Amino acid sequence: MDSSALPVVENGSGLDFDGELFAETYDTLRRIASRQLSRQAGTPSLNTTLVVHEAWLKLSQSDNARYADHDHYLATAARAMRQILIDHARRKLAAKRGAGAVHFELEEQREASPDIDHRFLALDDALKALGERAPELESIVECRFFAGLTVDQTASALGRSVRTVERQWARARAYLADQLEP
Amino acid sequence: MPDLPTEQEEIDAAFEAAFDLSEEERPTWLAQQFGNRPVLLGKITHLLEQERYSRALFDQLAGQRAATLESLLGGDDLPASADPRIGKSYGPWRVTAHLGSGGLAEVYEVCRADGRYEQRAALKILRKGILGPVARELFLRERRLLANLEQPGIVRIIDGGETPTGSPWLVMELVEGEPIDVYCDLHELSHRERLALLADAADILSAAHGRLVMHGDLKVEHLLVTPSGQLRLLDFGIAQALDEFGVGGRADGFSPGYASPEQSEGKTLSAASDIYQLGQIIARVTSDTAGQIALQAVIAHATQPAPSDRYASMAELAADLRALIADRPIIASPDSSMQALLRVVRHNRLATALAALAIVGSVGWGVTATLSSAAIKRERNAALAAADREERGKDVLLELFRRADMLEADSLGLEPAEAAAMLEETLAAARKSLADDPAMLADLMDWTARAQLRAGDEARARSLAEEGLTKVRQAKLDGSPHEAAAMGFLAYVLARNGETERAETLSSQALALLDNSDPAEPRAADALLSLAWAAEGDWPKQQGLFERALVVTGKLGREKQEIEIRSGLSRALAGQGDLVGARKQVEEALRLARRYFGERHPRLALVLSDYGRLEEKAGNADAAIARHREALTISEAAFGPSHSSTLAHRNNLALALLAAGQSTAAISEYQRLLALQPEGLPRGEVAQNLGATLVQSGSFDRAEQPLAIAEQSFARHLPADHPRRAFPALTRSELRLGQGRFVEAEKDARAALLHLAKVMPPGHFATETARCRVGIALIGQGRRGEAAAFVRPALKALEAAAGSVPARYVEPCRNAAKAL
Repeated sequence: MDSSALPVVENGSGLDFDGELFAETYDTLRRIASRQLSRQAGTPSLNTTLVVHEAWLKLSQSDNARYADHDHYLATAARAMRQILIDHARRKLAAKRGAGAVHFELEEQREASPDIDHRFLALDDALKALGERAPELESIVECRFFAGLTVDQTASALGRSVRTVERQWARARAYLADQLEP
Repeated sequence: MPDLPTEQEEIDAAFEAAFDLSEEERPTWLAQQFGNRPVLLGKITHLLEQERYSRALFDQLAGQRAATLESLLGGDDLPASADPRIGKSYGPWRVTAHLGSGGLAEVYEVCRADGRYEQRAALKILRKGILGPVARELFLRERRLLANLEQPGIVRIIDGGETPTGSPWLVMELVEGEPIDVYCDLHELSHRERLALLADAADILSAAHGRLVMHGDLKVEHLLVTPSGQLRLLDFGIAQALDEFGVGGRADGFSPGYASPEQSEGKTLSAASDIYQLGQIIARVTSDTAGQIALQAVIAHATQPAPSDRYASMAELAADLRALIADRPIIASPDSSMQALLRVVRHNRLATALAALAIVGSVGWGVTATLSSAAIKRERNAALAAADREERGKDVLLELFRRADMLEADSLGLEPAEAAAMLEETLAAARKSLADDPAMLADLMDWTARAQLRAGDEARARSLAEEGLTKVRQAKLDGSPHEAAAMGFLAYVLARNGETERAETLSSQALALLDNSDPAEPRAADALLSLAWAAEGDWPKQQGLFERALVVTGKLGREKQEIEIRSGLSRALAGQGDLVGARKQVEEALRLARRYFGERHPRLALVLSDYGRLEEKAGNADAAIARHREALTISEAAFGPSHSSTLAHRNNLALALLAAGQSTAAISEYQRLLALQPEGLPRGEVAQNLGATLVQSGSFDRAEQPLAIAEQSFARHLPADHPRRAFPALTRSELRLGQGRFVEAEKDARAALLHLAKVMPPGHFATETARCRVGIALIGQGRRGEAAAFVRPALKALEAAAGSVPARYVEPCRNAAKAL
């Protein structure tokens, strides 16, 4: 085929079905989060689990066929939630120190609370590294920690046994703690 | 044999096994298992310690997670750089930044990713949660209409599509500007300047209502003022499409502060809702400068709780805003609305007819008319309320007619017959209520006649054209360009009808009138165009008339008309063999059409079709196919596959494919056409073409059914003495010969011969082909003696006319003669 007839797409191609689904979930979570602004004072604030479930309600109402199973959705939502939280933390950090270089202040004492955003971002980096070696642990952490799902919910979201989830979650925590340890 | 476990795998397995044990049991178990491997033991023990520590750590991190979510909810900027769509492409558009999160959509900045030209734009991806599958379909169709809404004040939709998950997306112009209220305050605009901007908004909205599109979600954020002070309206019609059809969209979509009462109640929206919302915006933008009683009356009239108590149309609101600026009396005062009511009662006949117009319209353009029938009703009220306020009444009524004019209606997708019926009903009412205004009636008749021409009712068009000319003369407009235009149009209709003599007389009379009147007159341009079309076939004369028309429209700046003229000029030049000149004209027409209507407007399809025909004539088969295909794509995108315009373009494409010898492609187009073509003569013609193409390519079995359809259709729709009635039998005789079924071939060939010999001039090649085939069929049956009487005279006649007869008809006959 004549190459000049083909549009040259520089950088990113289009998103595939799963990618677009992820983007939609991301939108919905972001939107639920932003709508909190208009909530009356006094209404209970959301935790991540509630946000994820509210998103599920919204998405499932519109078109059942897309998220044929709630479980597949939960895993996607957990990943989206991770991205939203981490990105927000990253921006806050950047805002805090202006355009300065990122430097981690590592505390001597475990009990001492290091800078919230640092720890959070460090967790994401550690999880990325862990995920390269053990992808099955990355999704566990997304579900259990970032989306705040229970062991049972995580088990059905990922199609693993409850026992496996418990073991893997413990192992993931152990590795991450090892990485995050000063 | 499986590989030995790696150290990592051993650690993982040991960790999980130990984890299952109680804390007390672990040391013993570990010592048993790994006592002899101290390094490994150390690693496992360390990991188990980390697990213990991690519980506290993750409690702490959960607190951090909650705090992060809290700050996210607390109004900090929402994350955007991590948006999964950044860097991805939608069609040729690459997402560069997230601009915002609207009630209905995510909005991004995009640039053209194919590098064809630099263009930044805004991408809107409709939130899937808002759209059900039906709503999506309606939304996409509404989008097509919006794409055709060319108005500088309306932010243009450039492109659109669907995500892999089925959410619609739109690309629109990226407008830099400030919301109208911010702009007015920032630039400290005076009261008058503010009103002028608001009147501009009302004008833009009024024009859109005229095209049957309402906004539905007017708020200051959707009325942007550019740095140069120009008003641009955003998000046209989208909210409405979603509101009416999007399940659950309302609560999310609308801006509660601006919703009209009927909107809040979830009722069907109409143009009145836009009037209400603009009324609120007027109040907001003028609040600092308010105090005028007249202004308060305008706002109050626009924002009445009951839609029927508000302005009858956006045009009226615009007029009142301009009246405020000029310090003239306004309509909004109580007595005048009473008068308007009386006028409605007085003209209720027209009201009935115009209501019918709304209903008929809705058949033609399902979505839009459904969306906007309420808007038409309001327009109708405007027409009535203003019917005896001479100028405006005419304008509104004429606007209703123009909307049904087929060239304009191209953007609405009305089927010609529906448009014609719609105009006929309105004309019937107008004859009564406007009996004292023959000039106006003549205009209405002219529009209706044009619609009838496109709908194929030539006789009706002719009688309307005659009557129109009479009315012009009654209006004492004889001698004027108006009369010339009416004469020219009648001449055109007569010429189409084959009444050449009278057509020519009228033409020369009209030309004489034009010679003696102001050439730079819109009516003169109309007249010249009609006269040019009437001269179809007399190419040099037609060329001269088109060129003259071009001069007039150039003076008048009527670009739209220039498109038609240059297309026609191209045809006239091609008719005289000047293919270079013809190409120049059609390219110019295409350029103008693109500039005027945009890339995808259905109006382009007509020009492309002319272009395609020119390429065929020039022998550029591939280019011709490309042009026809482009026309087809545009029409299909605008109207869908079964609209008459789309069918016509597909037929042109099939013909071009056939001419290029691409029978397989032509056959597949014809088959699609046959599946979509409604009952009627064109269906028979398509079936005949399909059958003939299949026979020529040797697909005899597949040809049977289309030929039967053609035969039936011609019998039903063609007059008894029409030659084409014999075509299916003639084609089938070839099919039967090909199959070696000679008895049946003889029967079909004889039937065709009988009919053709009766209705065609003697010696015509169709007749002689039929005659020869009778002979060939006889030879096939071994009846050589009888065959000679058919084959020999047929061959003689065919050879005599050799130059004009395709070889594929002559060859078989020549071979048969040899076989005798």
